[in-house]
Amino acid sequence: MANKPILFIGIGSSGLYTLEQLQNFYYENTGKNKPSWAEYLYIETNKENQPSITALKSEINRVYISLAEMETMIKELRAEGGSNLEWLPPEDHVLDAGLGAGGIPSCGRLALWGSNREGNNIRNVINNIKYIHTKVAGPSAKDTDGSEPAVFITGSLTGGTGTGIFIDLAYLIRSEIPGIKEIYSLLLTPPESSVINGAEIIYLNSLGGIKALAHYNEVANKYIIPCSNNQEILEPPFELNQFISQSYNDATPQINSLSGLYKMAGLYLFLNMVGLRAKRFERLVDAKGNLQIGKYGTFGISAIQYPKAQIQEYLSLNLSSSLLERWIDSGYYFQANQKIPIDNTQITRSVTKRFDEILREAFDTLNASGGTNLSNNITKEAVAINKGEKGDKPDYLYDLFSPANAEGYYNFLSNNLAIATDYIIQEVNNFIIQDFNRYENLYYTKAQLVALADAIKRVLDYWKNLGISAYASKWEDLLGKQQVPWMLTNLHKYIGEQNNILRERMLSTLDMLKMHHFIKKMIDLRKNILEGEVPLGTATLSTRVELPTINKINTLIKELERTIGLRDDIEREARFKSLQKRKSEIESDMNDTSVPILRIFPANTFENEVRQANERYRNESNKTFPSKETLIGDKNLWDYLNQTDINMHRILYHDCILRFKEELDNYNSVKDYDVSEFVKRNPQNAAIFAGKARSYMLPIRKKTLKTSQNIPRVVLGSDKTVIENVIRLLQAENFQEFLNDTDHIKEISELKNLMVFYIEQGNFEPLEDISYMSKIKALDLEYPTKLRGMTTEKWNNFRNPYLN
Amino acid sequence: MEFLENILFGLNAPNDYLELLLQFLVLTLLSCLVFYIGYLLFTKGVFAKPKYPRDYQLKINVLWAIIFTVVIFSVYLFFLIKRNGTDLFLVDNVGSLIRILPVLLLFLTFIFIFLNRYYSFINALKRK
Repeated sequence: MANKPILFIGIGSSGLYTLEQLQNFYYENTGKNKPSWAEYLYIETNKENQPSITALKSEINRVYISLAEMETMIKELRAEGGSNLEWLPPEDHVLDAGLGAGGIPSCGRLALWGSNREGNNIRNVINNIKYIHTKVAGPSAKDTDGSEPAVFITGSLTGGTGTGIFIDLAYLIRSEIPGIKEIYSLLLTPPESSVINGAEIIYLNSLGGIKALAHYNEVANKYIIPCSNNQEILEPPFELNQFISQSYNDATPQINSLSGLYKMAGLYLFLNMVGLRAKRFERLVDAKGNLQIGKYGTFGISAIQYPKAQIQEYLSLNLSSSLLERWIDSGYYFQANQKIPIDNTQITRSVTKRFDEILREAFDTLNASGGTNLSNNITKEAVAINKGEKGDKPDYLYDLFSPANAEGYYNFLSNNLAIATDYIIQEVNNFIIQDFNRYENLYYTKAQLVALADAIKRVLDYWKNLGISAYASKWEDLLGKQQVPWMLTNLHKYIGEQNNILRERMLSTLDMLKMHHFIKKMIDLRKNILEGEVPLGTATLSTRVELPTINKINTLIKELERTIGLRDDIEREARFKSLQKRKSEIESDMNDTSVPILRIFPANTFENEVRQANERYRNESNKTFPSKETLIGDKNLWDYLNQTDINMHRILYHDCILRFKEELDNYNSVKDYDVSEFVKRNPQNAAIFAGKARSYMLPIRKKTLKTSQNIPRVVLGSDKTVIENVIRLLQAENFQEFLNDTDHIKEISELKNLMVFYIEQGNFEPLEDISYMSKIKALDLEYPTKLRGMTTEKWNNFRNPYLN
Repeated sequence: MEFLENILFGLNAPNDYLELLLQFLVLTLLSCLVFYIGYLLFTKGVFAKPKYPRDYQLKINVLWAIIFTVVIFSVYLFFLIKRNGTDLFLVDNVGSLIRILPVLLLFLTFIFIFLNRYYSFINALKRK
């Protein structure tokens, strides 16, 4: 289907959070983060701010505009010359802005136009805008109608970045991509508050931003592109500026938190992406032509939603947590559908037995190399020695096992040692990983490694008791004083066993020689298992195999705990989102009654919905406990965890939620629910909620905004018949805001389990009509005088970079 | 043959000590022969490919060979008693007891050697 391409550009942290909400709404309704005909871009001066992870890989492109070395940036801009640089703050005025623009709009604007050792900011921004533009309007664009994209720029007018660059950005798009005509803004403004002490800067930044916007909305005021050759743009920056805040125009309680505001902004952008823009455009063309709307607008919005996606995601999070908790359960593991306590004694027994086998096999691998087989060779040597063919028996035997003899057994074994060590690493790796794949428990594996280290220690102690040392001189001593006399004493010749006995004793001495060679390797292996930061790996095999270590296991456990959310440090790092944190977000989203989205639950509560879905999943899938099978099928879990080592948290988070969501989808564990069913059963409640769209999200108190049939008001849902049915039911409850005609109905297939009531408003002047503006204007004159070292010039320079 | 039959199954007069000594020596010689045959049988036949180190297996073979010898000796005792009756073992008949003394002495020697080898083997294992 051909769609109008759309670009969404977020500025500053608020812009990012709004885009995240937009992405989330699209994901909840379609299972994807964005359609092929839309792109997200986010511009930020705060290096630490990153798009947080969602179940899918975030599609929000990020441009970081650096504010490092502000003084140098200013100097360089001045040196480059060009038009419209009067707004640049004097070098001695700038302060270290820390993580962002420091709440100073002129610093935000400087960040856009300046460059430093971290990059050329303006070039980066232009390149990124062109890049996303090409994706939706270039030759490879999919599902588009071939027109130039509409652009929505969003951010708050409270901080330095948003207020500093939102106008420049609009003009930058107009100058760089002249074909783009539709540029809209969605600007978040501060709420009405009886007390603004301590938050003055936020309000004053808003005032500065709105003043600048009003300035350029006057046709007489030309915009001159900074650093250009006086290149002018006459038209206003935006087609329409939508303002929203946490406060409403009436007595409706304000939205509790900023995240609620971002959610509503995200919902608005989402609706515009999936069809509301086109519907609004039909009406707004007439409204503009008839001067019925002006340059500024706002809206009221309410929705009734069966939160299927949230229920599904919450259950996926639960199942993901259970799976990861299974992997890091310190007390129990699963075997043949049974939960069994981790028994260290049993583990020690089995590991010791297996290690002894591995060691024996490793010893055997030392016997053969380059066509020589020591075992056969010793058989022949024993016969020859007994026959007296080798001269002095003790001397010959000594020479055979001595390091001084280059052709002797000592050096033969020394040359083969790497192969035998690799054999041990490979076999240990095999049996540990095999068990890990079978039991899926890192604590079980850890206990195995501890048992393995103990088994090595026991072997080393045993060898020590035999008098074996890693030093060659001690070996020679042992050989001369103990082994050679023993090999030749009491050979049981009377029964004809002298050859067999000598052969066996020579083999036994050979084993001791192997032990002597192995001591250092075994100490290294043990140390690496217990303390190794970098795991020992094989050197002679075509594919490197690494020895599992306790450090590695601890790291994996830590990462899994982080992913679940069992470690506090995770929360400090914004770029990590834990399963618990996401669960809390969903819970608080479900409980947030200040946002005008009515969540409906056929099973009465969210918890009941999740529980019922969980039961359906368990019944349909016959899975009593989660296993790696859901995540990676038959593949090797150890390899998977190691493959995802660097970005384990992010990859696990995505994979877990996605795979479980897929399973829930396959088993249809969370059923759809028709919103009209709810309206049919609860018409009054539905009417009250739909009525919330009449309250718009801006505190304009003293004025009633003029309405017009050309200012959009529309009910949006996935099925036209259902919408008509709902409107009829609402009308029966004396709710007459929406008429049952095409102007008031928008069918959008993406809106599954969701019905939205949207009423747009316009015809106001923000500088005059927003209730707190007069107070802020007075504050603008008074506040700088209270600040030590502040002058009017400096103040204007900081706060009003567009009006200098 | 008659000499051997007389030595092995004919019970001499209690005062014929030379005859008794001869009987004892012949029996010892024959027992050693049986023991060696048994030892050879176990070493080269039954346990020709031992599970354990050959030094230990030979020690075990000694024990098996003693058991083998005692079994053969018991068969001999069976025929000895069958020919001479059980009166030989009557405590009040001192003359008869003396006559059977070399046989009994040898039998007890076997048991003593077996126990001695057994415990020495066990100790050797423990030392390892």
